Amino acid sequence: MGDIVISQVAKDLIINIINIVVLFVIVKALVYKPVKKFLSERTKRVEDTVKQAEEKLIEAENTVRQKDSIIAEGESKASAIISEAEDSAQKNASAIIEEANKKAEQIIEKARKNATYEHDTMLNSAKEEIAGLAINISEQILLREVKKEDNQRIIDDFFAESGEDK
Amino acid sequence: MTKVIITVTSSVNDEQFKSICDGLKRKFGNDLSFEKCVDDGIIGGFIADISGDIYDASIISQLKKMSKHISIG
Repeated sequence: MGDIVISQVAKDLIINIINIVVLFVIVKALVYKPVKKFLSERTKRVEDTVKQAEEKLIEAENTVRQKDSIIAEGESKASAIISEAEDSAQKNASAIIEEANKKAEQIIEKARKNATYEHDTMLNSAKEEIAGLAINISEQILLREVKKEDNQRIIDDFFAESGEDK
Repeated sequence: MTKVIITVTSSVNDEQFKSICDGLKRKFGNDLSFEKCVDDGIIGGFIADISGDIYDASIISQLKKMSKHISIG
């Protein structure tokens, strides 16, 4: 009687074990694998998303660095252009000032020459005028004052000065 | 015979003209013929033109030289 009971218990135990095993196999087959697969895919999607985000972050950082580089290069070029323009303007200004000084010197020199020329011309004109007046006055006086004796003296002086050599 | 034109003023008389002619003959020889030309513009003295050679002893010539000297000086 005791053996039969044990035997029944053992059977139940065995049946239960079998049920558990079968249930385990079924559950594993129907639930565990899909869930595992789902979780695996989800993990993969999350990792991909994270990876893409990291790539985009790196790309964004690269873009920012490129922009910074372009801005810095632009500023450098702008600074160089401004510096070159300032140098060019300074050179042009110096050249213009130098040219203006030369022209001013030429104008002053020309004015000085003109003034000298005008002065000399006026002086010569005055001399000629004075000489002409003096001669005219002398002529008028001599026309009245030259006498016979004066003429004779001139004649004598001429032949005395020229002597016998001519 | 060489022709000599002598320019004098109207105040020069024959005696003075002759003295000019005599002086020229002494200088250039006797082979000269003289022609008198009167010009009071020379003021005094005489100008002798001997075949283009001018001997100027006139007062007007002296005045012109003096005028030129004043102008240049």
